[in-house]
Amino acid sequence: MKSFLIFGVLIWSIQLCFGQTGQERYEAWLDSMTNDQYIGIQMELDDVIITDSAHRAHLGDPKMLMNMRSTDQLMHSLPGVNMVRRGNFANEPMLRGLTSERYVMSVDGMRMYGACTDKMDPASSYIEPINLRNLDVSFGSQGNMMGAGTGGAINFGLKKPVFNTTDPLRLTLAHNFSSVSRGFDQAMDVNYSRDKWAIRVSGVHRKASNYTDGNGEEVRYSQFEKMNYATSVNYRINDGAMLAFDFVGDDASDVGYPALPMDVAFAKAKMFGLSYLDDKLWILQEPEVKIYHNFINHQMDDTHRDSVAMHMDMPGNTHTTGGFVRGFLQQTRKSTIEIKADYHKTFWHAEMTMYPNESGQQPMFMLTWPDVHRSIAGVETAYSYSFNARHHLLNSARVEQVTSYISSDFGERQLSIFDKSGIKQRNNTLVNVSSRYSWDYNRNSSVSLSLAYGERVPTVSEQYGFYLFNQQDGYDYLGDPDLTKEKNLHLEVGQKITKPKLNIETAVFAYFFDDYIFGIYDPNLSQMTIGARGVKWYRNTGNARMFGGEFSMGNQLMSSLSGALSAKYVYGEDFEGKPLPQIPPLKISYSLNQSFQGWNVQPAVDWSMAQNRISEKFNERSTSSFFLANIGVSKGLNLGVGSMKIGLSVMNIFDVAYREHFDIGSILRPGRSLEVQLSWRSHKL
Amino acid sequence: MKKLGIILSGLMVVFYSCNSSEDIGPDLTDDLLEITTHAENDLNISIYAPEKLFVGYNEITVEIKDTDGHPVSGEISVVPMMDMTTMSHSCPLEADQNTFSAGIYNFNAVFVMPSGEMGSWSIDFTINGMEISVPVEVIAPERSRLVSFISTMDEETKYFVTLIGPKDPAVGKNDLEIAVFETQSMMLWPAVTTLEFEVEPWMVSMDHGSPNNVAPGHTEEGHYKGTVNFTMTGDWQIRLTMTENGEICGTPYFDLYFQ
Repeated sequence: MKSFLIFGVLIWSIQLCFGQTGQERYEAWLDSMTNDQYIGIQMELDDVIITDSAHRAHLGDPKMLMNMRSTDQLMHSLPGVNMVRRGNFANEPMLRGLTSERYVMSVDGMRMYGACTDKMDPASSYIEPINLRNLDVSFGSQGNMMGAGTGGAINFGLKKPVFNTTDPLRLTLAHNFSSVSRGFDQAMDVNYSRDKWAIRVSGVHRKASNYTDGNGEEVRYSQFEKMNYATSVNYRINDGAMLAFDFVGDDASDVGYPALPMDVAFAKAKMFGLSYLDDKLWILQEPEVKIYHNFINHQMDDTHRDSVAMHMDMPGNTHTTGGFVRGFLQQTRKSTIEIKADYHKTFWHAEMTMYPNESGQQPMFMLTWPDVHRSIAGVETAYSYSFNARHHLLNSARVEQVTSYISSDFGERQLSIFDKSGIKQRNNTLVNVSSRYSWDYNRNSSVSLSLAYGERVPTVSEQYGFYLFNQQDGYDYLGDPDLTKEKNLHLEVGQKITKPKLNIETAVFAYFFDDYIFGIYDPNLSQMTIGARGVKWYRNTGNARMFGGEFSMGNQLMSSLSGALSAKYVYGEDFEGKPLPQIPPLKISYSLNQSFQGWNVQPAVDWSMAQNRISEKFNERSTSSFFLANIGVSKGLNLGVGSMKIGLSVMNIFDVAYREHFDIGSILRPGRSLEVQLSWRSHKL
Repeated sequence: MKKLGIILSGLMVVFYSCNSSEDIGPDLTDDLLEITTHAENDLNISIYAPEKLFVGYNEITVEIKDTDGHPVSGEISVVPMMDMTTMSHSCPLEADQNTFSAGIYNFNAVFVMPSGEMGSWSIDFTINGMEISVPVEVIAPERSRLVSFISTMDEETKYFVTLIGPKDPAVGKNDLEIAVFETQSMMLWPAVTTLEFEVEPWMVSMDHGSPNNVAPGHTEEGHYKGTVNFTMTGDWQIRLTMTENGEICGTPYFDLYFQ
């Protein structure tokens, strides 16, 4: 530990010597979210700031502007982000074709880990858009002060109570209806403030039945219901210092996962965070000191399925406790230095009890996550430096120490099968560094070049998972405790043009992985799950490569008419030069937005190419291309008391039967749906 | 005077306890179950085993004392016998020592059938020239630990395969030990040392095996040792394929259950 700290300080000193800087924090306000010119549940998202490491204003994607019913739909519209579906709920974000193993997910800086071995509950599923203040997404090895990863990071910033003495009580109510799943949502948000303190309370209830796909078929087991409730309190200690408390609870129940052999009886999360914010603390400017705790209980359920080979109980839970200190050491016009030290520890437990169909046979039990403890301590620094008005250098470095061990004898005995038991703890030291140079070559345009190197530790499933069935390729997966860390060298070139009536953003990237962690079939092992094809080990497979990019263009066609075009593409090769699985094909979206007299009309189209580069190892099939069209209309108006917004949209107008290539199973996405959104808030537009 | 009394009584306690421990010997019931006691020819014979005697491989401890409770030493031989009225037979036996000391004698016996209407078991001792027969009860365990079959190779040899370990099966790595005997006559049950095995633990209700098992190989006197792995709790079957000179002579299996 001591040597690690010294090492960390050393790295940081080296950074200082070379005049490097931390990561740039883009705060591209999504004006669209607050303005009336876009359709959707604006009131739900009125303050969301979307930031990402590629410095883009997310005006390009049409879906962003309508039907932002859930965090899933919000994220789906971001450049470089795709949402992997297992059902109509709790989609797994995918950053440039990389799934949750490879990126870091956090809520307001609080690390949080889903409690399902089958990835039914990414941390994003416990967050509601109404509670979002900002959403930070970074890609590849570019850090965003959240943790070490090879695929990026996502941080959901929680909405804080607003101090507003002239209008101390603010109330928002929202309703949503989605015809395709007969889904009803209600949301409520109350903000109340006094001189010294402010409180915000929100609640969301969602309930949906099975949805209907583009073939008119009901997709069974796609229903869900959830409650989300959050409270935030800010207390001003003095002019500079503030205490902030956040609580978020989320209870989902009876969630169907049509693409998986099981559903979810319940998924419950609770998050608690307490922050101290100040102008200055010791050597830190604008410091934040935070402690947090969160836990998730997750229970899979197969009792509602017509035919199951064998009934199973599969509960899982995670508990995370942590804290961090962050702040600026220096903030001048020329340079800023931001530092962060963080620590968290997490406990994972998941088990499986199998009940034989024949009487006389006894239930069987195994630990699928054998009581894994992992603690992560990291120090990170971000340093930005402007040579002059046009040349900027943005750098960051992070060192992380990861310690993992198993606390259950049962788990140790399971490991003994592969002669992997008896090692008290396994340690990894991770180093992430990134550097970005940008040049504003004229008043409206800039180019940037990024070079980053990232490492990640294997996930708990990859390291300790025990016969985890993967529905996608049909294999049972075994974790390998002796996996080494995965590395990624990340190159990226960006270009940006911002003119009053035109903005164009382009990013082209290349990822070069080493020790890429991937499932490798072991013919000597027999499958555990009934019907599985065999057993795969998570292995360090050598090199993998990914290339791709995103393009977006927004232009003002007439004074009240704007258009937005976006495209995203990823190409991936595994260690044998064969295609990587779950790679999204080229997708192009275009939308128009016409506004007049408080009305908004927004037609949008989406075109996805076929994906024929498939991973045979992963048992993939090709996916055909599809074309989607959506349209939305909205109107905002002031009432005698407060204001109201009405939104009406038709999604998938032509009732196209389609699935995205990376979706799990062969379940089709929803067909045509009429969405109605109604909201009222206590203040005027 | 009072002090002296205390010292004296202390000494007496020490003396008495030394004496008594010599007389009684170690308390076998700490680890073992007393199966039976038998008094005959001025000898008290107690039979101990880890559990009730069962059809399979039993590790038996015999305690032999005189009528005063003093341990006896000397020469001994032992033969388990099944008396079936019309005939009688013995069973596989591991009793190499023909002497014993300090009143303790250990041997192993593989009872091949349970006591019952068919007949009853006794353990026949010859201790320092005196023949003493101790009747014992042998039960059939809930899950069989002995499999007997005629060789599928020569259709003649009758094998008795008994499961010795794992004694306390659990998830993970388990030491597997089996012993194999054949019957040549009513009294002759020699160990078979020339076999080869393959092993596959099998979860019958889910139809899967387990990885990384080590086939049992011959160690000594018909004992074969290997490793079996269990990936979960529940009803497992240890499936064996027994070959001699490359030809399969049988596929015995044992059912196990643990939680």
